[in-house]
Amino acid sequence: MFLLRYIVLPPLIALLANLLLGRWWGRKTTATLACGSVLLSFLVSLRDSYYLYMITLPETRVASDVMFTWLSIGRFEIPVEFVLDPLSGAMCLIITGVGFLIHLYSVGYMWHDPGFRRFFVYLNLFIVFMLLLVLADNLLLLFVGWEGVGLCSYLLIGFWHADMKNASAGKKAFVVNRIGDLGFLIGLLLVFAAFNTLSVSEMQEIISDAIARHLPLPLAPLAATVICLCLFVGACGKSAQIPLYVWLPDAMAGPTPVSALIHAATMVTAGVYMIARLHFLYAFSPFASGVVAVVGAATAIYAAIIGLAQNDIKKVLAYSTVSQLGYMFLAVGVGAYTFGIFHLATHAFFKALLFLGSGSVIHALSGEQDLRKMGGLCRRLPVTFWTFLAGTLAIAGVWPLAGFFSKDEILIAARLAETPLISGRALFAVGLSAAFLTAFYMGRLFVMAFLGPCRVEADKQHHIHESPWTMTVPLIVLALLSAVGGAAGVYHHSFARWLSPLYGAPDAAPPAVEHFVMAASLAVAFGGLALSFLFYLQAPTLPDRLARTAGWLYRWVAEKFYVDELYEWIVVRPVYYVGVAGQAFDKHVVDRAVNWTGGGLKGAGFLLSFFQSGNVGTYAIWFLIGVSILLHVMR
Amino acid sequence: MISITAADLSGISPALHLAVAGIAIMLLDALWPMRSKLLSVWITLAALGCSLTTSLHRLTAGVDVTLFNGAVRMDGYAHAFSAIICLASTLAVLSAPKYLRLRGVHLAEYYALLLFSVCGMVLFAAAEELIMLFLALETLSIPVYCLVGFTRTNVYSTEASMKYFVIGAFATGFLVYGIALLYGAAGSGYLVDLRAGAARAPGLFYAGMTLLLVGFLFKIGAVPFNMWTPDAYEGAPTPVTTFMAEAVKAAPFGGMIKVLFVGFGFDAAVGLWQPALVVIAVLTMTVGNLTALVQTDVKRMMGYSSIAHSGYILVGILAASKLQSADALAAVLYYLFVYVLMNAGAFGILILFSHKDKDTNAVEDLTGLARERPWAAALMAVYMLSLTGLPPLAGFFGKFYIFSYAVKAGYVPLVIIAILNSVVSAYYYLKVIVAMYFRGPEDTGRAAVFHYEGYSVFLLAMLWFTAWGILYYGIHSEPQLALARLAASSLFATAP
Repeated sequence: MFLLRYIVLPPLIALLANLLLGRWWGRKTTATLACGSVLLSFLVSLRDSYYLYMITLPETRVASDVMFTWLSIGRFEIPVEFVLDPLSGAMCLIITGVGFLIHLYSVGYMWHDPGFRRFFVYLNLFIVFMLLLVLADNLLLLFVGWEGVGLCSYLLIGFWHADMKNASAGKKAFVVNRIGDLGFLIGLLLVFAAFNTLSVSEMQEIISDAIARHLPLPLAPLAATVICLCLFVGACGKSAQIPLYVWLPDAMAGPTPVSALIHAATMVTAGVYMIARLHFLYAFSPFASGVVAVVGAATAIYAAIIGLAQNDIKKVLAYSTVSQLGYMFLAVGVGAYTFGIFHLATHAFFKALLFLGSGSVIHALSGEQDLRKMGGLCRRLPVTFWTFLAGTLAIAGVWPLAGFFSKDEILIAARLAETPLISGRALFAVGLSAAFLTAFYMGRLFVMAFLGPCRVEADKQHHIHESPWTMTVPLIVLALLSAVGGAAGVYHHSFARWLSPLYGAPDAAPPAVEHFVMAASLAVAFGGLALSFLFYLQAPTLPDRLARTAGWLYRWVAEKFYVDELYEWIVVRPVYYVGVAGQAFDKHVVDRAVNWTGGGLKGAGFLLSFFQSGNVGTYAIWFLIGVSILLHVMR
Repeated sequence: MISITAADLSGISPALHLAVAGIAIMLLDALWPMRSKLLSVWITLAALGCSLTTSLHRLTAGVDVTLFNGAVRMDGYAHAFSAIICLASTLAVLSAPKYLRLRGVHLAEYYALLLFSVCGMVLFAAAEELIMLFLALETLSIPVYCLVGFTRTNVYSTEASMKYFVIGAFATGFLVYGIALLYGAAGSGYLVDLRAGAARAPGLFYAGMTLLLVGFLFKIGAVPFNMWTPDAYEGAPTPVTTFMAEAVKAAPFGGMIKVLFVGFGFDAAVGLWQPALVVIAVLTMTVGNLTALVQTDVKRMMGYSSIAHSGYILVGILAASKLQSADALAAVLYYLFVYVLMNAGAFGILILFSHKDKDTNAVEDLTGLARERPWAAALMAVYMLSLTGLPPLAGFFGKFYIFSYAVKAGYVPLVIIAILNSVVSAYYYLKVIVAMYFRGPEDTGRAAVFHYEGYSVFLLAMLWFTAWGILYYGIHSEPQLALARLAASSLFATAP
C-alpha cells in the first residue's frame, strides 16, 4: 500500500493552518508545524521508497495514486496522478530530507524576523510544489509544480521586499524564468501534438509499443530535436544555464536558507530532473543531447571563472551552483543520467551545507557578506568551521568525500561520450578545468573566511557567536552526508542499481580510462586547493599583484564578463522602449476609444431610462405599440 | 362526466404537495396563531423538498403520464421545470424569515401565498391545453401580486403591487384573447392540435399566436413588455424580489417553450415566431443591459439584469428551435438552473444587510464591505462574477453552452450581439465589486451604512449553498446537463 498523496499533503495542511490560523499561535507552534510536516513527508517518502525497494522485479517498481480528475475536456483528461518510481523516490527523499534540515535551520535563522510566519508559509508552499513537480506523471501537472516553485522562488527572493534591490532581484528571476517557461510550454504543446497525451507513462508506452511492433515512431527525428530543444530552453531558465543563468546570482538577495533550499539543492535542479524524466525523448535526438552537454560544459567552466573573482561569499557559492548544474547537464547530455542524478543528490548535500554554513557566518557577523571583511573565524565558529571544511573538500572533489565520486563518474562518462557536436575528449578537458577552478575558488573562499588574520570590522567583532542548535544540527547532518554520501552511492553501484529500471545498468568503463580520470581529477582537486592556500594564506599580496598586472582581464571577470550589461542593451532596453511606445498608443488611442464607447453606452442607458417614467399608462402605451408591431409583422 | 382518478392525483403530486401544504398553513394560522410562523417555514420547506425530490426521482425514472383527460402531462420536461422551480422557491423561502421579522410582517400567509404560486408554476410547465395553461398562469400570478405588496404599510411596496397588478391584468387580457382566437382557428384547445389552425384560418391563427406570445413575453420581461420589471423588483420586499427574479422568472419559460415547440412547431408555415423572437431577443438584451448601466440601486439594476438574461435565454430557445436538438434545449434548462442560483445569492446578500426601516440597496451602501465583512463580500463577488459570466463559474458555462449552440444553429450575428452585451454587463456587475473591495467610506464621504443585525441560519445556508453550487456545478456540470437532456428529449418526443 503506497501513500503517495500523504507525501504532498502534510506541508500543504501545515501551510494552510499557519496561513489561516497562524496569527493565533506563536512562533514555536508555527515552526513545529512547518518543520514537523516536512519531516512527516520525509518519513512517508522513506516508507514508500522502502516499499518500492521491496518489490522484487526492478522493472515493476512503479506506484501510482490518482487523487482526482483535474480537467476533463471531451476525451482529453488530466488526472492529478502521482507516480513514484526510483527517480521520483530519490528526488522526494532529497527534497523532503534536505528540505527538513533547512526548515530546521531557518527556525534559528529567521527567529527575530517579523515575517517569520510568512516565511514558513512560503517555504512549505515551495515544498508542496516541488513534490508535485517530481511526483507528477502528467506533464501539465509537472508544469503546475514548475510554475509553482518559480512563484515561491520569486516570493522568497523578494522576501525582504522593502528593499528595492531585493524586489528587483525577484522580478529579474521571474522574468528570466518566463523566457525559459515559454520554451517549455511550446515543448509541451509539441509533445501533445506528437503523442496526443501529456502523460509520461503513456508516452513511454506509445514508444515502446511502436518499437515492439515495428511501427513507425510517432516522432520524426527532426520533431524530436525541436521538442527536446524547446524543453531544454525551459530547463536552462529554471536551472540557470547559459544564456539564462543571470538571475541566479541576483537571487542571493533572498534569505540564506532560501538560497540553500531553492537556489542550490532543489528547485534549480528541476531542469536536470525534467530531462532525466524525459530521457526517452532525448534518446531520439543525439543532436539535442549534444547541445545539452555542450551548454552544460560551457556553463560549468564559465561560471567557475566568474566565481574566481567574486568577493561576496554568497555570490561565489551562487556561481559555483551554476557551474555544478553545468556538470549535471553535461552528464545528462552525454547520456549518463544516473550520474547526473547522483551528482544532483551529492550536490544537494554539500551545497546546502555550504550555503547554510555561509548563512551561519553571515548570522555571526551581523549580516556581513564581504569575504574581504572576514578571516580567522575558525576558532570563533568551530562547528561552522569544521562542517564548512567538509563541504569544501566535498565540492572540490577530494577522495573519499561525496563530490569526488559523482564528479569522477561524470568526467568518465564525458571522456567516453560520442556526440555529433563535439568530441568526448574536449568535454572531458573542459570538465577537468572547471574542476580545477572549483577547487581553487572554494579554497580561496574557505581561506578568506576562516583562516588567516581576522579582518572583521571592529564594531562587529564582539558580536561574533556560534549559532543556536537548530542551525548547527542541520550543518552537522549535512556534513556527514557530504562526507559519506558519495561512498555509499558507489558502494556496489547501489545508486546506479536503484535507478537501473529507468536507465539500465551502467556500462563498466575501461579500467585504464577509469584510473586515468580518477588520478587526473584528484590531481586537479589537490592542485586547486593547494594553489589557493598558497595565494591567499602564504602570500596574500600575490593575488592583488596578479590582478593589477592583468588589470582589464581581472575586471572583465570580476564584472561577470559584462553579460548583465549586454542583456541590458540588447534585450531590456529595446523591450522597454517598445513598452513605452505601446503605453503611449494605449493612453492616447485605445483608452480614448474605450472611454468614448463607454460614455456612449452610458448615454444610451440614460436615454433608455427616460422611457421608464413610472407611469403605468405609459407602460400600457408601449405595450400596445409592441403588440401592434408584432401583429403587423406576424401575419 | 369527467372523473378524477387516483392516478391523476398521484401524477400531479409535485403540485399537490404544495397546494395541500398551503392550505394546511392557512388552517394552522387560524387555529394556532401564536406558533404558526416558524412552523409554517418548516412546512413550506418540507413541501418544497417533497416536490423537489419527487420531481427529480420521476425525472430520472422517466415517468411520463398524461392526466385529467389530457389537460396535464407530467413528463420529464414538466418534472425538470418542477424541480428547478421548487429549488428556486426553496432558496427564496430560506431568505424570507429574517427580513419579514425585521419588518414586522412575519405572517404565515406569506408562505401560503408563495406555495399557491409555486403550485401554479409547476402546472404551467405541465399544461397541455390552453385553458389549463391560463388557469396555471393565473394561479402563478395572483399570489405574486399580493406578495409584492406584502409590507402593506410601505408606500413603495403597495405602489409596486398596484402597478404590477394593473399591467399584469392588461397583459392577461391579451393572453386570453389570444387563446380565444387560437381556439377559434384550431377548433381545439389542445396544444398538439393548434398547428392545424394555421391552414384552416390563418388570420385568426396568427393573431392568436401573436397575442399568446405577448402574454408570455410580458411574463419573462421581454422588451417592450418589460416596463413593470424594475418597478416591481424595486418596490417589492427583497425576499419577494428574490422569488420573482428566479422562480417567477423561470416558470413562464416552461409554458412558453412548450407552446412554441409543441403548439406552433418549427415549420416555415407556422414558425413565424422565430424571426420575431430574434428581434425581441436583441432588443431585450440590449435595452436591459444599457439601462442597467446607469442604475444606482442594486435591486433595480438586478431588475434590468434579469431582463437582459431573458434575452440570453431567448437566444438559447431560438438555437434549440433551429437545431431541434435536445442538447440545445438542455443548455437552456441548465442556464435557468444556474440563473436561479446566482440571483438568489445576490439578493440574499442584500437581505443580509437590510435593517429595520431601510433596505441596503444602493450600490453605494456596499462601499467598503470587504473590509468589514470579508466573507459576505467574497460571496457577493462570486455571484456578480458568475452573472458576468467569468470562468470557471457556472454563469460562464451557462452562457457558453447557449452561445455555442446558437453558433451551431447559424445565429452568428445574434451571438456576437449577445457577447457584446455581456461585455457591457460586466461594467455594472463589477461596479458592485469595485464598491465592496476598492472603495471605503473615505471615497463616498460618509460612514459605512450596511448593517449587520445578526444572521439567520436559513439565509446563511442559502448563501453558502448557492455559492457552492456556482463553483461546483460550473466545473462539474455534466450531471445537471444529463438531467436537462433527459427533460429536453421528452419534450422533443412530443414536438412535431
